[in-house]
Amino acid sequence: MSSTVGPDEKLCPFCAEVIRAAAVKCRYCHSDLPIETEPERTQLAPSEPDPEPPAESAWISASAPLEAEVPARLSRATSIMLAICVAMALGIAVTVFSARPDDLRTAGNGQVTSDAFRSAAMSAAAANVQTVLSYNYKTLDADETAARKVITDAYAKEYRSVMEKASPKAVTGKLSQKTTVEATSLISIKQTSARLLVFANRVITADSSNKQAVYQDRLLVEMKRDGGDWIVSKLTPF
Amino acid sequence: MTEGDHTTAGRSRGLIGLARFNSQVALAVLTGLLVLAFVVVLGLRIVHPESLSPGRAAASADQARDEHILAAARRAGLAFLDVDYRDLKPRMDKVISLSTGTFKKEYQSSAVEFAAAAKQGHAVSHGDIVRIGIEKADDDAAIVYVAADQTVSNLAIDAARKKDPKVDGKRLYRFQLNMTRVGDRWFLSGLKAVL
Repeated sequence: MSSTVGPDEKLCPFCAEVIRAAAVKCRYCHSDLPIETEPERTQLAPSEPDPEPPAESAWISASAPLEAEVPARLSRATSIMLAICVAMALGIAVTVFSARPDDLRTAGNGQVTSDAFRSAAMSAAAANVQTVLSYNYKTLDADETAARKVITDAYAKEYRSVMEKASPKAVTGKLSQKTTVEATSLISIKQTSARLLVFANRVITADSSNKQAVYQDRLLVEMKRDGGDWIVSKLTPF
Repeated sequence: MTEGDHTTAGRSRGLIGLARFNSQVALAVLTGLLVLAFVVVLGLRIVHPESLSPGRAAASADQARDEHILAAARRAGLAFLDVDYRDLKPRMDKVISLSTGTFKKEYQSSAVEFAAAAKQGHAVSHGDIVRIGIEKADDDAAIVYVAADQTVSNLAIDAARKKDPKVDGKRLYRFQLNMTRVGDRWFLSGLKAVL
């Protein structure tokens, strides 16, 4: 019997002679050899962890905590960090999105520079001023109703107090006031508010006279945007 | 299992742990970078929002342009209303230096006549820009409206005041100023009263 068994050899379990590892029948005793369903483990696969590492290995001792207890702790840390990452990414996206330019071309200080938006505000100011500052003694109620539609509720009180004084005089003197806006310019304009400099001419006529009184007004017009419409919130001659 | 097998298995486990540890470090670095980026973006949004969007930067550029126009119009308007017959030339030179085009030519051509009238009438006036607004503007030209007050004194007003103490020499103006850009500066190129 040979005492040396090569890598491709094995011992016959019946006659103990050295035979090939792949043999299914012993060439010496002709015994049928059992088929090995599970190859003998000669080396531990690198990917298979040792279920019970020996305590004497310093390397294993050092790495063992990572395997045994750290995963749970790190998974919590991972979850927290991932949550922060997502929150920061969303925060950046929202911040950048909120800084997007809109169609109004809004500057950093809130002033709108869109030509169309500015023109709309100036046109509204001119039309509103003409409505608010025009009346005829024959149509005072209708004139006041029309004016009421283009002014804010707060300014309506001031307008009403002025008209309460002006209306009796208008009726008595058969007066009409027609206002024409000669020039409009923007002092400042934001998305929901605007201040304008308006030059308007007021002509007051009396049915009983050919005379006219002409006033060249300089007006500070303050407006608010109600929905899509600009309405007068204050009108100050100076 | 031999001791060598245990050592190999432990080394494998150590490598896995090391890989996980490296992942944690990478994630921590990423988190730190994202937090830093968020702080920077939020700071820019608050302090310098136009830096986050070219459109907003263009709007801010328009706004800055309008401010230059208004400042130039205000300077020119004040210079135009500033008259003192005793020291007229530097005042008129200032108006000329702030103007261009048609207005400059007309002002220069009438300067001699104007100076003579001011000296003859002992004219002194000071102006104040009460309100100023822009009707329209582009990169080369603008129309500005100005509400200006002027306090005037001259021989005629002095004589009128002797008859009527209520005469105060105060004038309320409505001006249209045309502004034109020359190089990187804005100049007065037209002035007329709004009647």
